[in-house]
Amino acid sequence: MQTINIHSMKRFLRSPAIIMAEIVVITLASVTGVVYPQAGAVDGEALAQLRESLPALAALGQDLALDRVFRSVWFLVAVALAFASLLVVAVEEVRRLFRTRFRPFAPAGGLFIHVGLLLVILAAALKALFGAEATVDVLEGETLPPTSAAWAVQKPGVLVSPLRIANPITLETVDAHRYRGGDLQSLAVRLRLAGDATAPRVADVPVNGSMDVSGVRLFVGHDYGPAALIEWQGKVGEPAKTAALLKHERGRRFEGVLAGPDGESAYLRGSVDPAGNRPAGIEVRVMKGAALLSTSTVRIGETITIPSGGSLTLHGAPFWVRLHASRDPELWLFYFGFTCVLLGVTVRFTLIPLPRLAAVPVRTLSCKHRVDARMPQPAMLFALAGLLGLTACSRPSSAEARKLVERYNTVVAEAYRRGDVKLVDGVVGPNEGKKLTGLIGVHLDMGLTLDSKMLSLDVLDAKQSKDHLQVLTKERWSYCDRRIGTGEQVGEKSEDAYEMRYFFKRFDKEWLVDRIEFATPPQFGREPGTWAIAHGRMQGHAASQAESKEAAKP
Amino acid sequence: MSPFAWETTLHWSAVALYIAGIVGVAYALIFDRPGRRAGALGLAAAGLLPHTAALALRYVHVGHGPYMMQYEVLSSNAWIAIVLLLLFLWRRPDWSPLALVVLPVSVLMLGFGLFTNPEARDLPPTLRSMWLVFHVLFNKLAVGAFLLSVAAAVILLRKLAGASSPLLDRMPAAATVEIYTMRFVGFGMVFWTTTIGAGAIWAHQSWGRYWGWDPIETWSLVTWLSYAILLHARLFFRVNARATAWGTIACFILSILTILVFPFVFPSMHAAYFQP
Ligand code: HEM
Repeated sequence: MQTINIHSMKRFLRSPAIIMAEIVVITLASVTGVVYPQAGAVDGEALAQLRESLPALAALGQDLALDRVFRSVWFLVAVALAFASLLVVAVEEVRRLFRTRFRPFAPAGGLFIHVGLLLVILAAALKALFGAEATVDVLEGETLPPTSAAWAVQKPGVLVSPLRIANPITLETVDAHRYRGGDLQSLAVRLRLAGDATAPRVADVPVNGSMDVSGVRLFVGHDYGPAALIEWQGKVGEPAKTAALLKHERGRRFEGVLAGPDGESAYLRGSVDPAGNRPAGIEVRVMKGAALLSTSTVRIGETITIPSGGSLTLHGAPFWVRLHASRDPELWLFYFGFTCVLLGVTVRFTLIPLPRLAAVPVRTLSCKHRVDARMPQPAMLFALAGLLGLTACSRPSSAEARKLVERYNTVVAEAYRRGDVKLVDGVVGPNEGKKLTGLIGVHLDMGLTLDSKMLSLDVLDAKQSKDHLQVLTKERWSYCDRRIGTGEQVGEKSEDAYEMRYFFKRFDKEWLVDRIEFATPPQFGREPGTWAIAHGRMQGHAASQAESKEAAKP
Repeated sequence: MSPFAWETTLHWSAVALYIAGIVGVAYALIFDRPGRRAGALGLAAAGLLPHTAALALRYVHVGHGPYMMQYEVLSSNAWIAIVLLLLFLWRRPDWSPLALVVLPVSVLMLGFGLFTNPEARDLPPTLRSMWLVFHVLFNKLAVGAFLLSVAAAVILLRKLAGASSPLLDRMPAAATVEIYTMRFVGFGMVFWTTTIGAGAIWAHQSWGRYWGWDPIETWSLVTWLSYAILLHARLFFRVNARATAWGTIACFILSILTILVFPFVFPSMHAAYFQP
């Protein structure tokens, strides 16, 4: 009875239909893992958006575990079955090869592939069980204690505890260089591992390099930047000492935000010099709600007082870097398995004479009929055309146009609110950038910032030709001006309605606003006072205001 | 002339020579003038000279290999596909109809690349690794081999449809064409497997894990598994030559989507990590 079960199990595992089903299911799971938003993925909001826009599909996806496909039961069962089938097939192939004394040698190719796949699947399982990864952001001069708690993010395998380094490790220096254009050219860190009896071990670890510490591999990626060491004294209480890690924004600029003790926010910006060295000072803009309380570049050791009370001191701007640690006990098994697969594919397809390429020994297969798949050619042509059609670039939907306009307005409104024109770099072309620099500058010169809020947006039309996109919108806005330092409102609040025409241009695959104009004369909610406030909306008016201001300069 | 002007001139001279080669091969084969075939292929081979010079100039100009911008990726893909084609035709002159598929597709690839952004991008530290060179080189070889398999599949379909002409009759029988189709698929699988392997080693080096289900990693696995499905379907169910040909074409389209389209559709570590 026992032998029959094993025999029927083996026949099941090596039946062509089951084998094809295993490979097809693993392939479809992989496609799902890319097309269907995955929980905890790099782009995590996609799943939240799906739940919002298509709740029924999201619920079904959750029930079928499509949103965590590589940890789903059905995927793991398919992999386990594939593993079992491969085992059965490999044993058979070995027997047949020995029986035929490796003549012909052809089947050895298939055997190497299948044994290699077995080892790769085994390695993946070992990694899931015994591997570990951890990450932490470290400042220059900072020492990590030899505990697992020292690491901010831990991803231990199922059967192992979180990762730790046996000895304290110090990040001595970060050596970063940038190209003239501002892109990162090289990054290396110097790590000092405190030894017990032996002298401390020091290693320079560049990107793509690593330092091995008793089976744990330490390495760095691209994530680094200046850290603003800020002591913030609120109106009352003890000062708060924080290291604000500035993240790379664009070119040589790094940005971050730090919450203040009395509800303020400090928007920080540090730029490394052309050689890539640490910034000598940090741009600091302190906001409270929509009010810009103070804006200045603070040098190391300098203190600025905040009009609403309290003070802020910059103690230093060392570099920080994201340090990674990983333990892969199964690494060599994976590489050996992969080499077997590569050897097998090479043997099977390149070393075997052509005539035998077709005459594959199929004696062991139970299924003998020949599938005479008459592919209706027109249907295949439509399918191919449809597939290629998918990749052709489609007209911008009003949703896409809306997204572009919203992105522009959100960033520009924030730039006016903070008096920080550099924020708009990512959404405007050179023309619009120059104009906004002038308009925001005029505001700052008058000691004001503009607090604006879009009340409604309707996209009336969107027309695209190759690298140009025109979007016609109907918008309602509310504005008021605020005095820098106190945030007090200046003049009346105004609600205006516009029909705007946005001229987007494609700059290296990004749609940026090249210019905007009024499609129809704007309706202002309030009568312009003696100081006609220059604003991005009142384009014609503002431009002349900016120019007249320019012209009026001595 | 600026280096870029030289690059552009050399690239378009190569395009002109390739097109002349296509016309020559078509004329030689359709009007059964075998004597003209060698000359036509010679024109296509001559196109490789300015094309090689343009790629070399680009290398000097940007300081790294062709793997940052579509402009240089497509040009080098086309170059490798044409070199593989000419090498094969040098050994198998009777197969020159392959040129009527491979040359036009390669010229289209090159032409499309020349209209994309030619900006010189600096090489980020992550990409300064020997494993990247293997990863990219074998990826281009795989595209070339798969393109040859598609050309053979197209010819196979024409033969199976009963088409007859001096062009096709000079070619081997359908059964042999089917074997060659699978041989090209096989070479492509060797190169594609190496690409995945080199990519895994490089990813472990710079991202600390050799496999992370990154969209482009996953699509390259899906492409690999699709070819495996084709192999096993032929093996287990002995699908006929027509299905083999259509399967080869479908898998080729998936490989092109994986390399040239999906990196711009799916947010992935591949794109995000190139130039922060
Ligand atoms: C579930 C996993 C798999 C199973 C159970 C399986 C099983 C089999 C079996 C039973 C054969 C016929 C062996 C013979 O009689 O010679 C075969 C052949 C083959 N398999 Fe797989 N296979 C699997 C996955 C793969 C994958 C992912 C590849 C990747 C390329 C692959 C490549 C091959 C090759 C190249 C051959 C020889 C085909 C030929 O000779 O034309 N297999 N496989």
